[in-house]
Amino acid sequence: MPFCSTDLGLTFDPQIGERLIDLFAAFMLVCSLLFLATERRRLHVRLYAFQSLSLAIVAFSVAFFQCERHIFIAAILTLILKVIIIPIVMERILHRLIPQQTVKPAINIPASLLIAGGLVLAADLLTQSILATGHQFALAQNVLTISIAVMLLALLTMVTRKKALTQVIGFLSMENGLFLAGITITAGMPMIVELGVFFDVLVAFFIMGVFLYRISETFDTINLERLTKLKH
Amino acid sequence: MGIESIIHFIQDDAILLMLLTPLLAGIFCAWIGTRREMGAISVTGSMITLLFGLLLVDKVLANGSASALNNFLYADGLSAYLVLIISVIGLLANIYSVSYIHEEYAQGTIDAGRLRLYHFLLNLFLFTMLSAVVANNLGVLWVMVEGTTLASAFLVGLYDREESVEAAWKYLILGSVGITFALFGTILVYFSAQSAFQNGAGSLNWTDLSNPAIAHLLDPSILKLAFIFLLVGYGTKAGLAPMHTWLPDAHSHAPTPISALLSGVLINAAMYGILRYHHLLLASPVTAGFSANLLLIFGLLSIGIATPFILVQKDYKRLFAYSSIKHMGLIAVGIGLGTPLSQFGSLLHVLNHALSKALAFMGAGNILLKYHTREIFRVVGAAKIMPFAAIFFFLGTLAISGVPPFGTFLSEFLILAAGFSAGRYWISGFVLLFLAIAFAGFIIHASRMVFGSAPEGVVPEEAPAMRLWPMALLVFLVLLLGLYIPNPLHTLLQQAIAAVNVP
Repeated sequence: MPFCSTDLGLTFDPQIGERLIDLFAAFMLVCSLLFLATERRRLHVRLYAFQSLSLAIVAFSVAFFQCERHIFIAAILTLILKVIIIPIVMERILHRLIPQQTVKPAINIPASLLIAGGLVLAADLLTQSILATGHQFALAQNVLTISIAVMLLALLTMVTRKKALTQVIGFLSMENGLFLAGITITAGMPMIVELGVFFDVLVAFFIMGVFLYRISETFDTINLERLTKLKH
Repeated sequence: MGIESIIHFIQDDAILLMLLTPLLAGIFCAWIGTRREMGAISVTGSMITLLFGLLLVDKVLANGSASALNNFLYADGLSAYLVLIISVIGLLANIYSVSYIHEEYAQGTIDAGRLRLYHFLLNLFLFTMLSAVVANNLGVLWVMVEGTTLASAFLVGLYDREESVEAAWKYLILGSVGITFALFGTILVYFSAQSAFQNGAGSLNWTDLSNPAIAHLLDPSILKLAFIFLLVGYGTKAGLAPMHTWLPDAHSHAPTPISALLSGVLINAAMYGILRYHHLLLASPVTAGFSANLLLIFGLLSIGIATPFILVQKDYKRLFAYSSIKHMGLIAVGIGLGTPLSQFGSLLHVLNHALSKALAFMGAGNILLKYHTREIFRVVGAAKIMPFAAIFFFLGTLAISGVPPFGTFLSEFLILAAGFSAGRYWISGFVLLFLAIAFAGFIIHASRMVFGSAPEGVVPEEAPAMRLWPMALLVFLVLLLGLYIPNPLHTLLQQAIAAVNVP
């Protein structure tokens, strides 16, 4: 594919690519923080779509500026699946499920944002410890910090919110963070693995979607507070 | 063409054929099988799978390894050993489930659509587990382990009860999130591999990474970090504490043949992933102790957390689920101790545990179908109601609690003996104490269920043959392993240990 910068005979200041990647990676982190700051499910879906869009732009930038051609495929798949298909299906599910009363999160919003700040710091420390080995990444180290932070924040969202749909979005967002790490530090995984991961995430999403319906049918709610049948 | 050359011809592609069979069986069940045929297709499929599995084992015994599709699939001693376990338990669970799931259909617990889904997913589940252990690429291993969660999520939530849906949801979410950590670990390993290879291209192929020349070059501190993520990720699926919380729910609310597969086989497939990376860390002296110690810590924690729950358990399927956590802990401890004897014991215990846990769950299934309750206190006098099924159940309970002369006793004894002779008194003493406590718990629970006078209102009737013969065979196998280890199995175990250890 004659798409990347050197094919077109263009020379860029190498910093342009890196800054673009840093910027959109930062948008991903902002989305993760906003997940924690809001209770509205429709907004969660939109935030997820925006986070995936930022991820797709990062992937395109890596593919274009670093000439890692096989990442184009990952970027296009991200765009189709995570920016378009999954959010649309999720909106449908939201429409079909009975409207829910709001549930209080296990930890209130200011406190969870405070914890989130701590997790971002922890992600940075973890990155420093990887960097201390003297390895050079394909890209700037900020992106690795962000990807670990996105994973941890998604986990925090899943733990503190007792809504089934929020947990699904948390899982998907966690996977976004993981994917960012994949393209940043290793310039993508072997093709077969990357396709397999995409396939798994898609199937996982659809299975979770089916279970959302089954939970709402069996329990008359999709708030997980009521899922307390199981003890020891 | 003589029969010899035909066998050779098949043997060359044994891995591939072994993977295709359950896939085809699943597709046949989904599309064309009638209600009666589906059972026959599944059983025939898993028989053929076992046959190819045995051919693969034979080839690995002869050559040390086998591969197919340009090294995309690769099996060494450890893979072949797990293939053997998966295909044997897969066949027996399939035979058992024909009778079991059709009785549930007759009782009206599930409808025809669910029956079809069950057979389709059961075969798909076997396919994903088999592919996980013969994948050469560690990334594909991850894809397949996540595949096992996806294939079995509907199986866990097959019934439309609140508990089943909740258990399946927990299983799906915790399994997927846990495994996400494992993918991060895999990415880190790939990252360190990129700088280890001359051309900088990197590889996730086991055949490349396990090459000592490469394994030495992998960066120690990145490997350590990766191993933490991998242990948490695959450990979630293997049921190691404290990531085990989904396991008792999923294993107890799934249909019983699926419980047998989840507890007997799936957790071993996840442990396989951990063992692969453990090998990579053993290659370098800097990281060798690190992974072993982590395995010890998580193993001891699992034993310590699961045992009290065994004592106070009120639900007999949950009882066996907690016992699985304990046994996985024991296997992790045996690997972590790191002496050849303890590793031999550990790997032997993988097989013994798989056989006896499948046996115990099959026994629990017979009781469940008869008494319609999972509560230990409401099941009494099973021996009067269905003598053979009850005796096999009791023997299964004895086997999982490690009573001589069952195979589990031998392997537990080997691990403990290795621990004491290596001077790890505290660890071995702790394990011994908790094994003894769990043993007492099992005997009290099981004898209450099996012996005593039969209750009113339960019709005395022996379980059908399809649900007794697999159990009889399992009793025979687990007894045999306690008394004598056949030579080919011994060789296979040695090869498997070689795959875990670094010479």
